[in-house]
Amino acid sequence: MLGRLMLFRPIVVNIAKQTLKNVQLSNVIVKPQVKNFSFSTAGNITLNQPKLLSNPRIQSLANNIIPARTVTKYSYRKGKRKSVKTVLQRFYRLAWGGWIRTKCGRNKRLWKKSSARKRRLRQHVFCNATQSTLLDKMVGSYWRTPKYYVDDPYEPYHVRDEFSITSKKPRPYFPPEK
Amino acid sequence: MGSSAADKALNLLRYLPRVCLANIRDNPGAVKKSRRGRGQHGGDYHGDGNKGSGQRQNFMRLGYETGNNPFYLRFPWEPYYKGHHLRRQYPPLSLEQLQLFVETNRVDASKPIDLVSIMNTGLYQIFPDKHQFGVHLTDEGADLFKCKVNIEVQWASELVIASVEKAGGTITTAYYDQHSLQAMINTKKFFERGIPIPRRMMPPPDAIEYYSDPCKRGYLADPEEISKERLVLSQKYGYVLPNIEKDKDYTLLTERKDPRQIFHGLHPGWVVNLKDKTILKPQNEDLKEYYAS
Repeated sequence: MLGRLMLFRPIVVNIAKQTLKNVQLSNVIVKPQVKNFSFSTAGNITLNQPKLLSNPRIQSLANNIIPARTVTKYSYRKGKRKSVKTVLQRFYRLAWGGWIRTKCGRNKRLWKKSSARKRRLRQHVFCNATQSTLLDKMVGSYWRTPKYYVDDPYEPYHVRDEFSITSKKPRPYFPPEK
Repeated sequence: MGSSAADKALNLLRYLPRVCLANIRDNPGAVKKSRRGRGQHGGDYHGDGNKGSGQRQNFMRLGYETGNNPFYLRFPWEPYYKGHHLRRQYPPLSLEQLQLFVETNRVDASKPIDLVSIMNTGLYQIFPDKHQFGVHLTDEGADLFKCKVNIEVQWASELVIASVEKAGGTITTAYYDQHSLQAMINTKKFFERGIPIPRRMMPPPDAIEYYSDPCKRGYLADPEEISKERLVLSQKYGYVLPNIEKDKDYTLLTERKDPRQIFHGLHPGWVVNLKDKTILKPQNEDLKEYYAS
């Protein structure tokens, strides 16, 4: 019984912290109901449960959040096109126009995946041409201009001079050997 | 008298503007007007089909996949662009290009080369407002580099430093803040503004290490240390270090700017009057102290 009591204590403290945080975040006038949380026992938990989740104002706030993840063609203030933020969080554009991305499930259920599969998941892969065109449309012109960072880890991938079709520079001339 | 009509036409043509894309007529059939035909000429549903997106012209928003988890939301986050707005950019200039500039007299190698002389070629641009901070001299053409130059760039790799020094030249890496760069990218325009030349600011904390490193030939490094590192680098890359102390261009090769100076031969605080071809220097002691500090 004592052990159980000790187990519960930190949980109660956590709830109290969470409620405080929520109140600060949403500016809703809801006070946490937990009093003297350090002395509350296991039986008191149900009584001192915060009523935040059942609060109608919080429920209405939670239900009316509309995620704005779509492209804005004309902004309200300046009439400018806006980038989709989430594209820039998930994808990276190379200077030649290709996009790279991570792989799905690279952080999920790693315990049951083989080491070779985990290695494949760690890799970053290219998007295809259709997807790259779509992503180009979803970001602004700033993201489509080349960036000249020094010590850029993606530096070798920004040009494709190793393929004859995609190379931009003339091939170096090597005189025939005698 | 048909020839006279032809003569007249030719005479007329002499005074008409030259034929160009702006004043010629399209080829017949090049422009196809959109028609909304009736009956057998594409009538009925006019190609939009019966019911659905096509008929109602409700074009789907970008990336929407009619209820699928969209492609652009499917993958985990990765901080690819983290801190991009703070990272400094240095547009590249290769050693091959630099050699071409020197050999085609775009750049005068008998004077110290800095960002101003590279910008004056008109073949290289930087945009300080796009967070670009100057020249990154890249190693392309390093094997063939033969010019003896005293060059000041904003970023250079070890190989580039080695190839410049192997050719008998010297290289410095120097930092310019955005106001200095704005003065340097178009000097004529800057002098016409009639404002005093600003003093160059010190590099930001994350760059000060680079610009005071003798291995990187930083402009804030100790010259003694730099001459030591020149020898070390020559031994690392296996070439005989040209002795610049006995070179006839010794003064040219060792000329450096003051860390506060932007233009060769001009001090901060001076005003260049291009119209009267005079230079105005500050007389006030406070101003002198300000520009010297």
